[in-house]
Amino acid sequence: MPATVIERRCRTYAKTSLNYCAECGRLSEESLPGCAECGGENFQRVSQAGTIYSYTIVRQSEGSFVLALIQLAEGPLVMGRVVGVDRELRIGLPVQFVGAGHDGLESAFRGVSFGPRGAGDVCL
Amino acid sequence: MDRSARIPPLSPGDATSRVILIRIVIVRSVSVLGIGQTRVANHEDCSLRSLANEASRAALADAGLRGVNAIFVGNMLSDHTTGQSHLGPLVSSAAGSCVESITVNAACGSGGAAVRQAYLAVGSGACDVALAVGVEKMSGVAKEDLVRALASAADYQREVVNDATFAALNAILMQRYLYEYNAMRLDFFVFAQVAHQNAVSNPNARLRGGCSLDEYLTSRMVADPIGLYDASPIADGAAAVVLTDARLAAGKDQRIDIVGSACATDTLSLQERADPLWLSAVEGSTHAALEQARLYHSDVDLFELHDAFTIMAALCLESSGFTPRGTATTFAREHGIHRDGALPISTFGGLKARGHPVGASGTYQIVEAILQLRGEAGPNQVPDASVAMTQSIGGSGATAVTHVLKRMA
Repeated sequence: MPATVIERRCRTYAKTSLNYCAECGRLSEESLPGCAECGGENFQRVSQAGTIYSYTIVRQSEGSFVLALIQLAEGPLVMGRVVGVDRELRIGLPVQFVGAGHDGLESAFRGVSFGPRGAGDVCL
Repeated sequence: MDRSARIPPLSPGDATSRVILIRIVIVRSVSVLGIGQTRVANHEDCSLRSLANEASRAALADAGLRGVNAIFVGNMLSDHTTGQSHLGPLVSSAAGSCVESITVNAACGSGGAAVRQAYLAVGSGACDVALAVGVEKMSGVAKEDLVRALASAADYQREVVNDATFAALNAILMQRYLYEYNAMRLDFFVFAQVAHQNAVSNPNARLRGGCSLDEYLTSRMVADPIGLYDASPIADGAAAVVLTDARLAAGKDQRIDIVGSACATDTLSLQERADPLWLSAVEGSTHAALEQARLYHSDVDLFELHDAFTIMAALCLESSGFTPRGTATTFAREHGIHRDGALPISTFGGLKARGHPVGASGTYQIVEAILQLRGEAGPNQVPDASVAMTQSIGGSGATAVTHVLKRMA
């Protein structure tokens, strides 16, 4: 039985599942009763693991970042950034959710991020 | 009486319901009597008002009319780029008129959507003469502001929060296309090549320099695998068409009717689609428009499609049903999409090279299709063109407006 993530500390962070908001498609580790993005209450539990369905490297004057559609293990597609992946970037690459509301680089980022799978504990 | 019993609900993807609605509304034939356009360029010294006015005056003069009963203004970005919204009265008063005049916004499909509203107004009998004018001003705006304004037509909660831009969303589609169909970026060169070639002889086009294979392959990446020559240039411009009850066109040398018009929508975000490489709004609106026109794909002599990116040209050809999925680049190379090919596309350069003043592009498509059907396309003429299809798209295929135009006499 997958447990929804409610503990935000690194060591006790349960890795098995996430909230997937059916209203706005946002992934969230938050334990709030409603979706932080749209206020929807229709959460589905999905695993944190997925694979890259397709991706692009967005090249901007202030730097590049990887934007991707991730196919979660249960099937739904979700858009997010991919961080911590360099030359191994490809369609089909296994990734896992690493956080909502940050990309590890800039604090203003409000989307969701994925990183390489099996990279050890990821601290939110 | 229970209303819901009489009006069947529209279920998503149910194209049949849309066709029934069209048949109820359209009670008479609609002709395109006049067309007008400005150059697609950086008109830094021209206002929205003056651009719209120039195209509208040209269309009215072409139609031999002095006034209209209603005006539909296609525009996407004016409030972001110029601080001006509420373009209806702006355009009508510039024409010295106080008739009904409203803005139609369907993102990059606004120009086609405005023509469709004008078509519905005339076809329903609500008015005899309607003007559709698509107008956009994009120059003189900081690039990041413009990119953000354009991205607002994507799904904010699912896509824009991740800093998605339209180039990035199209790049994700193109990357997947290359993967699923074992294609190469090089395969998409044909779409850039043909569009740029056609723009060379279009005096109104934004880019008239052509595009060599070397330029295509070596231009800088915008969002891999989309390079500069996979994308369309932003620009300012306005295009206008005058639609009338077909009886008013009876005395003219040539009569060209809109014989099919349909609009369909899909999910706003890519991630909600069962198959992101299939544009179901494109499929639905194409089939509804052809069915209304009682024509087949093989009757279409030219197709002004929404080639904002080379990948969009491919997906439009496939989802419209002109070629099976995964075969658009092969179709383009083997059957030909140039002016003498099996299915000429973007005959004046398309969005790709004529330029993409977003809210006006769909109206430019109609203007260019009319030039072809009248036989007035000059060096860009498609031989013996009698049926043209235009398709204007908003977002990543979220809105699709398709028109079929036919030379009647």
